[in-house]
Amino acid sequence: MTPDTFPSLFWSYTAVWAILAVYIVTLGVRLSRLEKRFSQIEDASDERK
Amino acid sequence: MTPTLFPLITLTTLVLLGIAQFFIFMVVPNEQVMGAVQRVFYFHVAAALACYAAFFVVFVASVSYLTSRNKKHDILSVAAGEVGFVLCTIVLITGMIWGHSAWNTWFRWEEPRLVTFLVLWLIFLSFTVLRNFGEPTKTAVHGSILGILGAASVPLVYLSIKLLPQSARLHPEVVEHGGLRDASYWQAFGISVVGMLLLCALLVWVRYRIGRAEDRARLSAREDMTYDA
Repeated sequence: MTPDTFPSLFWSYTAVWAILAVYIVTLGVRLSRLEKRFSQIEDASDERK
Repeated sequence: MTPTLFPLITLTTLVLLGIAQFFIFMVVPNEQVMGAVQRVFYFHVAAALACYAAFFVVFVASVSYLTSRNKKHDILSVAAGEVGFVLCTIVLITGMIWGHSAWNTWFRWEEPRLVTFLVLWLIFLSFTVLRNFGEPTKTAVHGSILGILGAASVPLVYLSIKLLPQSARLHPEVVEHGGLRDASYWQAFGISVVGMLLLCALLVWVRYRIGRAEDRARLSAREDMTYDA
């Protein structure tokens, strides 16, 4: 009889999507930090003008 | 990548991964001995192939950086190394869950494929930590050497299972031994591999763009400091 291994399958794919989601969120956080940094640089150069 | 190509490739990747999930959960039949958990195979192997592709990019970009000192190549190697590490983590975790369900063990130290893959993961963990927390200009050369070393160990991971006797193996060789007999197995496998390779390329591209922008921001900040002084 084939064993019931569906819970392991479920947790495997949950792990795949969770790891990818966490990585994509960290990329998003880095992007928003960069946007802030560039706007600060722009503000600083505007003040000088 | 042009602004119109990026959404198109993103959409294609999402559609392919969605179709792959549909095939994996709804179409392919259960494997007779292991049951449903054998369906982990499709994303486990696809992620492994995608991480090997990312490490190949690390190898080429690192060699290129060491010979030319072109900053763009260094940024590309960091991007590919980081994405490869994420995919490597997916392979390791899905493999452990699969192993626990099918062979009643999370990890076996006598198994060459598992140990060599863990070493590969540790090398790229060090690479990612070094490149993300170290000063980019100071860690570029050491990072490139570590990247080359890590990428060069990929053939060792692949060959580890072939060089040792059958008795030392736990990890299966499904594709090499013609294990996928049903046509739906091949369809699910093919779509998963293409989807995962596209996802890998997209993530490397996005991470590369972020790396370039971070580099520009650093240069601008330095110019500002010089101006203020």
